[in-house]
Amino acid sequence: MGEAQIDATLKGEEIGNLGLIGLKLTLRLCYANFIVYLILYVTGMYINIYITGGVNTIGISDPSNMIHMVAAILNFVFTFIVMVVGFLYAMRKVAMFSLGAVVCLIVGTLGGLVFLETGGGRLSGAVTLAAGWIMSILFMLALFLSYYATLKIMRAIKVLQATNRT
Amino acid sequence: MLDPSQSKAATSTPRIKPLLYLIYLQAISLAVTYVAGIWVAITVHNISFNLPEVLEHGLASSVFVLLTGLVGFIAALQGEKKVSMYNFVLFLITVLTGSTGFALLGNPGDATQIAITNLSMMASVAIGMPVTGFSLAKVSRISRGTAWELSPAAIMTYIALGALSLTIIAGAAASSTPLYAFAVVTHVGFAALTVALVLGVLVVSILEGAGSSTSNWEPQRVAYSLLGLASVSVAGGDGVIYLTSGNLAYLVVMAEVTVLVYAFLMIAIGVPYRLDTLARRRR
Repeated sequence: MGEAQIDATLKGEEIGNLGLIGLKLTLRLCYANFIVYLILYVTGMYINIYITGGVNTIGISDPSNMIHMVAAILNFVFTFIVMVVGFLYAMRKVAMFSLGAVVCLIVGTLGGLVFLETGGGRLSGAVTLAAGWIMSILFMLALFLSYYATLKIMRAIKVLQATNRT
Repeated sequence: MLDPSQSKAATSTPRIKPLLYLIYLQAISLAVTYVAGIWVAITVHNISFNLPEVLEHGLASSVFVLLTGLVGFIAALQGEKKVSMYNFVLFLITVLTGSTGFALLGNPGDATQIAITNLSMMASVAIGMPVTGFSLAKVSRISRGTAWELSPAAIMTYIALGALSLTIIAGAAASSTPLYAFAVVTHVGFAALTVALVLGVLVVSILEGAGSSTSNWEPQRVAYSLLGLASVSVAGGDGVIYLTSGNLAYLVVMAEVTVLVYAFLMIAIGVPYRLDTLARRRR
């Protein structure tokens, strides 16, 4: 591929200055993050259906709750790392999508805290229900935003590979 | 011509600066986590997740976990394998010890759970001290563009950080009744070793300057290790007063002064304020 063709291919693309190896490493982190999202979702649904029945509360030291909280910590850390990588290595879209996901996770966690503090069950009142909905909706939104950030990283890798750059 | 490590340093300096600042933030969050944790352990009797003291400790430890993960990953991107690996291990240990904290919140009256949580959290803090020290030493060298070589003072500072870590773990074990006697003896022994090593750092730092054959001599290290020695002496004195008086306030002060020892040793490694910069420019 000639220089002119390479320039044409790179025009409008956001490849940043991380390099191919760094991008691949970040992509692996994104995959790990999706596994954590899955664990978070499965443990959350398990607790909701089999332990609380959507009505009762759960003890903080319950094993399924501890797995859920550890997964939440990992999820937040991984998403935050992708955001910082985006900012440090000039990948604006990756940074902005991940920033959105981080904000969603923070507000969603606050919603979860309000949910627990106001009763933690379906029958605990309107505020509890609203907080529960906020938690669930923002979790899904964070998942979609992380997905788009991952797509941008995959795109940058494809472009670098197509132009034989490292 | 630059040797490989200097060449690497010269090319990676602009990207390494954010990593250096992140390591300083990581060390600060570790110190805050430790102080807040000691405060909770000593002053809170009916622990609950919505108490302000517990929330502060939780927030500080969350920032520490976040920064440890971040430092590990950015170091991996920069090709600093050792820094990345050590921080990754520290990250996993810290997350696991965080989960023992959740277990304690569920069983606040269980003596075994209290002992497990205290010991595992202190172990996490204690492993964090040498890891942040090593990360800072390695990254600050690269950031300055100087070759990575270990001076005797730097080696002794690492060992002092290790001894300080073991002192902290042994101190935490003293809260468990079956381990009390063994833990106190071990704690005092490691504390004495830490004092000796910090004194050693001071002496070796002075001797390095007196020899002046090395161009990498850091005169500030003398001042920082002197401050570290003063702090560790005050902490030791507080420990002795606590043993004789039984007043818990002295225990809190001892723990908090220990953070100063950690801070001064970290600064002695990183030497961020280079007072001799002007003199070097004139030369």
